Amino acid sequence: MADHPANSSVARWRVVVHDDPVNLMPYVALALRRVLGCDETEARRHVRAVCEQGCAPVGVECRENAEAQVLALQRWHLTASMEPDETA
Amino acid sequence: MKRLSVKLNLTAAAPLLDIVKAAADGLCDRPAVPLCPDVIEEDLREILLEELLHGQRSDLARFLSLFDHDFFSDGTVVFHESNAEPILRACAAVRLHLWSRYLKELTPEQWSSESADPAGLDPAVQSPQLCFFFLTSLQELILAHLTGAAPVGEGEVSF
Repeated sequence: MADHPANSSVARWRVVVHDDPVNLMPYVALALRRVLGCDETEARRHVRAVCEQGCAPVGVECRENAEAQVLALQRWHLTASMEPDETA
Repeated sequence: MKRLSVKLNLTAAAPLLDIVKAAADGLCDRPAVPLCPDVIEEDLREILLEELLHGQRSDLARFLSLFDHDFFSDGTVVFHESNAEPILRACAAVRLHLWSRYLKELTPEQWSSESADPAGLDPAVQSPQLCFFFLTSLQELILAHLTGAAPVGEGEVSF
């Protein structure tokens, strides 16, 4: 039986950004570039996915890093959450 | 980012600062976006919330410091490398606050900057909506300069 992500030392967590009716798309892209360290093309791809789907994963990390990224995204006033990555 | 000097219409922009200041007061002890409930163990929550609020207050103070004596003499505000991102975040926080407090019930037509007619709105909503559009314009201007999509130097916001 697979470990629950919360109990596994190698557990991976998805960082998810949620759409909101207020933040501008270029602003969200800039926030993603600053927090995730991705380039403009990838940031725009994430923004499009968030807008089209309502929310979208922007990365997969260990729990500690995922928490840090969610908090950093909230520092930019984006709505973000994390969930176990069960694809591995 | 090169230094960007923006000339604002003092008569139009000055009254909106009262709205921004009231929003900043409202954001003193609550984040513009609620802390994600799934993240963080309970005992760390208070500490991290306070860190988040500290950053938010710092950004808002940076933004309000733009509107100093010089602003009230000639209507000019200056953005540069070190204040652009804090001001972008402060504008986002205030816009989210105004939206959640005054604007979320508006229809899409009342919301759209192209078709909005503030005169037809409840007076209690007119000023927050104008302030919302003002902050949107500032954000768009800064973002255009940060991403190199606008000419360097001076800008103008029609407020």
